[in-house]
Amino acid sequence: MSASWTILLLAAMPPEERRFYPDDPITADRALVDVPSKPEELELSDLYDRFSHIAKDLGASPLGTEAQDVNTLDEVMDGPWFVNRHGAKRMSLEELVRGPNRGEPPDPTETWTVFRSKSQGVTPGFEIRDESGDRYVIKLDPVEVPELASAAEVISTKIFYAVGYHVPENYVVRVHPDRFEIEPGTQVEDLFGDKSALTSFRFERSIRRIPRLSDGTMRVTASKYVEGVPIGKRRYYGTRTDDPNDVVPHEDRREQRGLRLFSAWLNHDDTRAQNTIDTWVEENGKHHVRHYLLDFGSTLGSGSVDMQLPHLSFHYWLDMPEMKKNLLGFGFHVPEHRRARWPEFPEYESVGRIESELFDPVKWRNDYPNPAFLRMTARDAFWAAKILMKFTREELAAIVEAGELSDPEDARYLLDVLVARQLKCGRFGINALNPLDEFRIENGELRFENLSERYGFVEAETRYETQWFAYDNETGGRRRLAAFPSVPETGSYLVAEVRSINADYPHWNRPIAVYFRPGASGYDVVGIERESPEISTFPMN
Amino acid sequence: MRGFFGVLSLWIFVSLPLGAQEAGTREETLLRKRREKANSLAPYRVSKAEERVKGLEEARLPQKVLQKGWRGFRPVIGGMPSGSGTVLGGGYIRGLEAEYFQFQANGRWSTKGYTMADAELVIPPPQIGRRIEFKLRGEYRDLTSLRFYGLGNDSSVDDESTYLLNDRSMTAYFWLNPRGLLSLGAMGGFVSTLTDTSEDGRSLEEVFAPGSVAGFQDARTEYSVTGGWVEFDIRDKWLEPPVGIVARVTSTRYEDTGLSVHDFTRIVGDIKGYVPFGSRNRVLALRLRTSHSIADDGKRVPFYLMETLGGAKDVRGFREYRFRDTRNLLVSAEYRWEVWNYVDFSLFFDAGKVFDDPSEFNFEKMHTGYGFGVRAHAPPNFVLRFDLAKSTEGLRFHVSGGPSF
Repeated sequence: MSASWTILLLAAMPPEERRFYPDDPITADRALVDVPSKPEELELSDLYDRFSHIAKDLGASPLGTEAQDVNTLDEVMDGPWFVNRHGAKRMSLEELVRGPNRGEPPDPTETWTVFRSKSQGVTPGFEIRDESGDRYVIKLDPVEVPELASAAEVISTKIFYAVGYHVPENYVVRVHPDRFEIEPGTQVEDLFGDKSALTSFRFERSIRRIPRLSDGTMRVTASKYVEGVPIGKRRYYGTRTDDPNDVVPHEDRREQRGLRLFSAWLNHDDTRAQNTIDTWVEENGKHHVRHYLLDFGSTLGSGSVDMQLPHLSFHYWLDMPEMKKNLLGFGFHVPEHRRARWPEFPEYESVGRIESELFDPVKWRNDYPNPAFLRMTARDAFWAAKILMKFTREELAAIVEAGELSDPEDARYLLDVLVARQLKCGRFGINALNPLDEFRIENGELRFENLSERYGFVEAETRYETQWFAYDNETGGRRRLAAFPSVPETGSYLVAEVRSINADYPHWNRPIAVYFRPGASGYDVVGIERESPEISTFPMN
Repeated sequence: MRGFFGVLSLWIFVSLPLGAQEAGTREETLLRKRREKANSLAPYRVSKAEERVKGLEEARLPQKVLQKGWRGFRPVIGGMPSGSGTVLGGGYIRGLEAEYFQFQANGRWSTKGYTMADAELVIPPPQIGRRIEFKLRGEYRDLTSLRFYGLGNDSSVDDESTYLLNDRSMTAYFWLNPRGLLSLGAMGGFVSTLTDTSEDGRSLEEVFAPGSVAGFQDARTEYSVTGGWVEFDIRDKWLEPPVGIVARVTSTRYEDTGLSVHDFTRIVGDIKGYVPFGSRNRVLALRLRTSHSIADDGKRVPFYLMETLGGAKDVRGFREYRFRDTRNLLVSAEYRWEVWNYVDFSLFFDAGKVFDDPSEFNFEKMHTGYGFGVRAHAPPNFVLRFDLAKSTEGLRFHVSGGPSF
């Protein structure tokens, strides 16, 4: 048994304990201890965070270590970090389009009371309270590029939500400037960090250059305050030392590692601690910390304040190996991003700089190194790819439409690019390891799906070899069986080791071990052990 | 705070279900792990180093000190003619975030003993996207030791001398569609100029017969200055463009309203082209500039208003003001390649000449130089440039702000 197999089970389980508990597989993490008092708010330094990650990998586990927060089916449990949604049970078109939105956007016919100027992040904006008391961050599109950031924000929010992350409710709203009122005492922070009173005059002046639609309204993104009491950012490494439920280092969390593939798909290069928020929430009379992703203004072709810079997503912001090549290349080394064929501007300015031809999920880069992303293994990628491939073109079209791009051609281009990038991400993740899934026993036979074949990612024919074992959950002992037992052995688990033999993908030869537990109506799948290829053959970094 | 976490840990421990303390289920194993952690909770904080960096970030000291200042009063670095040495000073600015105007006034001193004061009103301010710009600028300069090597293309470096230039000016500029495809500008104002002996090094009159250098040691001379320009700009961006052309023709009329001996018209043509070699990370930048100062009949162009060659902006292998005459011709070529999004390297070649006779308007007898440069740049308009250049007169190293061209 390889070392990576033993890591499958939750880190909480001491090695001498049995592999499966009666409640396995658990799909929702309900074992949260109460956090009775609000933890302190953590504010990070943007510069420090950036340069400390550039200087070294801040994660503790060796590269190649498998994720520690998965259940016995190698899946992420529902909980404070993630909720299985579209990947587990197909959402309807209506649910996908609604995304995280639970109510209605702030009513643009009512008064929006500005109570704070937005001082963080690169997107300018304000914070308002609507007449029902709900609070929103109001973000404005770049003056020269209407729709760019708001469309990206809303589309990506809905996709990240459907994938399973906790995200805020984000709405595109058209509001007349007359709807804003300034709450007395509201301050505005200038370019230099100095605060002064926000007067109506200053407010009107600050939004004067925002393009007006034909009815005099302006298009804004209204991002609703997330549920709970904000307690600041979280890092992509280590654990929150004040949260007893946070026991798995963030860099070793499956959903944080798999976020790399989703981010590559949606070009979310801004996936860093500053764009997270933790909140202290109450559920059923108990409190815990919930972890949100925030601020999707720098996704797809948007760079929040302008179109995305060409080099971002192809290289780290400060990419020393790339700089070295450029320096010594005297210009004859052409960086990848300089080969990209962007959509024509200004025709596609509202879409921005996003393309699919040169996009490569392996080479895609975040703004700066992210310890969780650096640790994405083939199993993490496979998990993410399975979810990502659940989105159909029709579903993505409906989500893109929710971005309310006024030019249908913009929406068509974006949809085409999204689908093309999805296929590249899916092919990479699904083919990263033996791509079998959806195991079950039907009529005394093992059934499964080859996801690579399902999505058309493999050309050569695949054949399968299965070896059955009886498994003693108390001792961990295995006994080879000639075939699937026609008569269930009392109390004994079964293991099927399945290898896929494909000439194009020799690494699929590594077996998947599927554990079955005898139940009232036959055998239930209780565990799945996949084996990642050697780290040296998985070229992620 | 430690006490708080101790109480919290204890509370969590005693509040756990009894069964959770003995793991018989997966949930219980998770609870046990979390209970263990609950015994050692601590505030989730940043390190001292990160705290300090965050404090500096929030203080935004560089911007506050150098841009905004204290109630608008701020230090000033640079801003004098090339070759002035290190320049420091103080100034006042108002309207950094204003919508209608920006005003600033500055005083500067250089390590070479130069002094300068200037005031400028811009309407609307630069931070506002505009179709029309109006600028009123007043300037006082006392440049005590500017270099002079004689007139003409054959001047000798051995004839280096210095002179004092004291001038004051007030000029109004009006610019229609600045940075647009086609922009037009007009300007008008006056300049009052005085030249005299420099006390730093060999003064001009020690090397050259004063009468042979038009304008030297004249009484203070007053000029009215009027002019205009047309610019055609198809660069794809203003700063370090990878592709495009910008061409400008400028005409300026100097009327000597006092002595009436230095009336002339200057016409300048300047064209810059940027050609990417198949990829935008490598660009050949080319420049052709020529200036012709044409004196009225019986009048002369004063030496201090002649165009010069040499220094960080033209033939970089030579010192500032190395060549001087009524006309000049400059050709520059730079091969620039991108090293980082904010840093380019370049190899460059400059060639230029000065002349008086229009028949010499050709590419013969050009002074040449070549070299290597590094440029750090950031939007919207920051450029720090380092150029190391070689010519027949040795190596020159320039540190300057703004693009070479």
